[in-house]
Amino acid sequence: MIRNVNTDLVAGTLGLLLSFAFWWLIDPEITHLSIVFPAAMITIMAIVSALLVVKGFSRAAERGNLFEVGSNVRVFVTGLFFFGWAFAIGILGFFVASVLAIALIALYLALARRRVSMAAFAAWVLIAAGEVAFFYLIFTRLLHIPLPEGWFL
Amino acid sequence: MKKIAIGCVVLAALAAVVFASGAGAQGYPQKPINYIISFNPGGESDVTARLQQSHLEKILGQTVTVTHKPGGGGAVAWSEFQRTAKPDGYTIIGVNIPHIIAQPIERKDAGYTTEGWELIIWFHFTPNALIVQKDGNIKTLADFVKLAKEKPKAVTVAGSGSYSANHLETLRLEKLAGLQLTYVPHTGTGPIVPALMGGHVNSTMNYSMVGVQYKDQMRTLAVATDERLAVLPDVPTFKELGYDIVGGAYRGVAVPKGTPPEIVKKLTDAFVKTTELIADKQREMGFEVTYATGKQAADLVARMKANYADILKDLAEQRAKKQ
Amino acid sequence: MDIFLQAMAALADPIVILLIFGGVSAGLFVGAMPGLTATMALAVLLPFTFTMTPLNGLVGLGAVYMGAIYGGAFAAILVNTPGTPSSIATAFEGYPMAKQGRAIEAISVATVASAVGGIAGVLFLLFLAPPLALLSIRFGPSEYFWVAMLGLTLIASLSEGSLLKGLLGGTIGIMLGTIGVSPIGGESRFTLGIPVMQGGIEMIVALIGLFVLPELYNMAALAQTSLGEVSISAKERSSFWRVTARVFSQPANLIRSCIIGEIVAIIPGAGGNIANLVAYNEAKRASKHPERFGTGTTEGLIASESSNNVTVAGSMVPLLTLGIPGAPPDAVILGVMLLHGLRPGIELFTTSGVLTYAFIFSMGLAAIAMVPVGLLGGRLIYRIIFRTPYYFLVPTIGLATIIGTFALRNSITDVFIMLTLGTGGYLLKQIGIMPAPVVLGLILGTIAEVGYVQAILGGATYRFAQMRLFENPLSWILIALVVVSAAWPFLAALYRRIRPVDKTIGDAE
Repeated sequence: MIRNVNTDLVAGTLGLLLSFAFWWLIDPEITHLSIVFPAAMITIMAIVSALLVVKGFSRAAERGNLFEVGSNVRVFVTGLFFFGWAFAIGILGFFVASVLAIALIALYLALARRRVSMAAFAAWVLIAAGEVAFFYLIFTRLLHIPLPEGWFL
Repeated sequence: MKKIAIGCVVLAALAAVVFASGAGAQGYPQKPINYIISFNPGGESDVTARLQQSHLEKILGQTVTVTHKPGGGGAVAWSEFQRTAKPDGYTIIGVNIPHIIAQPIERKDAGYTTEGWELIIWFHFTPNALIVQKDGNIKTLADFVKLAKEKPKAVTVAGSGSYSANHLETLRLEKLAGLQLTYVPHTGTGPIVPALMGGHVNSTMNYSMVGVQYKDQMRTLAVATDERLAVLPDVPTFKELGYDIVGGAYRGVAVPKGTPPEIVKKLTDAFVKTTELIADKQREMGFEVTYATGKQAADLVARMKANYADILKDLAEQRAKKQ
Repeated sequence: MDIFLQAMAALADPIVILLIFGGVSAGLFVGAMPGLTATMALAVLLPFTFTMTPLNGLVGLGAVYMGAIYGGAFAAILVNTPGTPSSIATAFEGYPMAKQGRAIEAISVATVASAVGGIAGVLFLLFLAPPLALLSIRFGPSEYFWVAMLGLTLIASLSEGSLLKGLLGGTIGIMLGTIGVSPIGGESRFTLGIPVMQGGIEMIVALIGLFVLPELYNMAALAQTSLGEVSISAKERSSFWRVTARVFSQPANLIRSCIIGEIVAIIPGAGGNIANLVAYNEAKRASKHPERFGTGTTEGLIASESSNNVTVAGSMVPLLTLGIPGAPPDAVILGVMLLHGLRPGIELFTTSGVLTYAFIFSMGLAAIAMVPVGLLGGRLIYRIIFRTPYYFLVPTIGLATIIGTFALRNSITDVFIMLTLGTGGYLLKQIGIMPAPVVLGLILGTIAEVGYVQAILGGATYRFAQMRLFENPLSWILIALVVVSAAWPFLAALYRRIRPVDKTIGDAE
């Protein structure tokens, strides 16, 4: 948890950085038609952000605690799992990557509250396989949406 | 929980059976063919692909799945296709003229090249047509030209997209007739119909099928073909009226470069047969069914590229001047 | 009247009834899965309709469409994720209710409200189609621009707490929406030279990421699910008749939401995604207890769910009369009609009147069929989600999210975009920038841009091209609404200051 943060100042600074980034990314050769609207919006974003910064320095600034709910480590690791899952789909194929990801995430999150025996985990892998199969069949057979393949399905 | 778990296990077993039954037959095609459409579901490319689908499946004896990968006016799918698709005939993609000609010229990051694939077929053509409201005061192309000359830039022409067939044809009309028009790009043919009916634009340079489908509410002034269209017999061609404007959008199919010739041949034959089978339906919808395969298909691209070259060059010069 | 009777007779066919129930159930699944859209479902079903009679084909598609728009409510209520953009506002009220153990009640209310909305849409289509169609083509570029501005004033009521942060969220959404090829001009913007970014950020991808991931991270952080257990008293309150009585005890809310839904529906290009938010906002504004919105009120839920189902039949007003698809799924239906040789226009209601009216009635039947299908299905889905332990729920919802995102455009890049935006959204939430304004910016940014740029193109000969935005009477009306809507929070505050004693007189009606 991070205590008592001036969120107006943080949001304003972030907004200014974003407006600068977008402004910097404008292609100088682009025609008026394509850029007139984004340029106006970048300006508005910058103004709003500047107002937030000003408010951040005033007495009305909002303060709050960040990341105050539960375990932040678990959030971070879960996030890593999700991104790893997406990467693995391209390498292992959708089916195998998803079965692995579901079983591993379930194991990791379950360990926060209970112990998991090897037998239980083996059953979970099967359940995960069933879940993925359910979606896999619906998408590939019924909806005709081919899912990515890698080394495996 | 337990019941769900058991259900899941049964499903997993079922899936295993289905996967195992995939391979078997010999010769191409052995597995489903993925037909990529680079536009949204419900669009003209999609509707045509779905019409072709069942005939292709019958002829090839394999499942053909139509998948969508929309974005960037087609460029997302095309760039990924040229980068990653395997030349095994199991991934084919819908392609469009003039998109594949104009985008690589106009965009630095188009991510693909006009010639970077093996063309199977161009299966239909939608000629451009200049269309106005039925009850407006513009009745002929002469009226249109007169009005546009009186009020430079005041006459608006809606079209689908920038650097599209509609856009380039509007520029050609401006050039040949000595006009100054205001081209208003729209995000597709769909939104142009209400814009024209509601009088928010004066006219549209659009595909002739719009003129066919909305005969009751719209008037087609001229079509950009060599000869009059059978579905619109009363509408003159631009050529008849003294403007050498022939053009429109072609739709076709391509496979990755390096696909074995036997597979290309098999696909070409299948598409030719399919095109003939659905020709009547296609004509009813306002498409012109003329197909080009093999070398002819590549020649068509080269010809259209030359056809649009001067206009694209003008555009690039205008842009350079504005900077 | 004769034609109506014939149309009804055409529907008294077991196949038609089967198609309606099957279609609604299939639609429900599609709607409940984030990423699967009604448009996609209809496109997939398109080849099947070639072999059917025109009526059966249209009935099936209409039922799927109806079910899909309604199905979005399930995901919204149970996992705080709008299954389709049409049920964003449903999540604002439905999910808090589910947390309080009122999930079944929320689903039942949503079901009844959806059915009412669906039927209202059919009535609009039957009796008011010609005048509404004329209104629909009055919307030109400048009107689109003002509609988008009107939508953006919702930020004020959607941003809990700080208005400035809401505005920042809105502009972030708009800027995310400008990535990719520009809608007018056709040039790449902000793509960093990466070809795949020409496709930009699809609104639904952002919607999924911004709403689902923070919820999954929350569950992971707390190591528990957030659904509350349904108590006995809550079960009683969720009985069908009681819920129906509750829904109909708010006639003003229902009528208002249905009218809003219909007006948004006939604007080509706008559909349930905007209707539900506008109806929600108006319900909040008219409510005696606007401060209770966001904590699980049935008022907001009813507004959102009735308005979005009006758009199903409602958006077919311009489709059937003028051949203009009012919403993306209508484009597929137009395709089916053209393939069967049915051309939209007057003759659709005269020469092929029996078919057309049978199709319209079948949508009404589909709306009614949603009640049994939805109530049964809703209880089933609730039970599954409630009984699944948190450590399985997180990866399972993750699976549905990833597969749905992928399926939208067959793009693994979209999956990464979804994960990145969702993680970013979790961080933004910490500093008080909520996902709703960001998504609103994404939905409306493109509409505003297209309207604005087209309008100034149309004003090329004017001294100031922007004057074009202020020309038409319809624009004036919209501008007035924008002004009132933007000033409302201040007016309301002023009013409260003048009349501080009697707090119950905050009603706008």
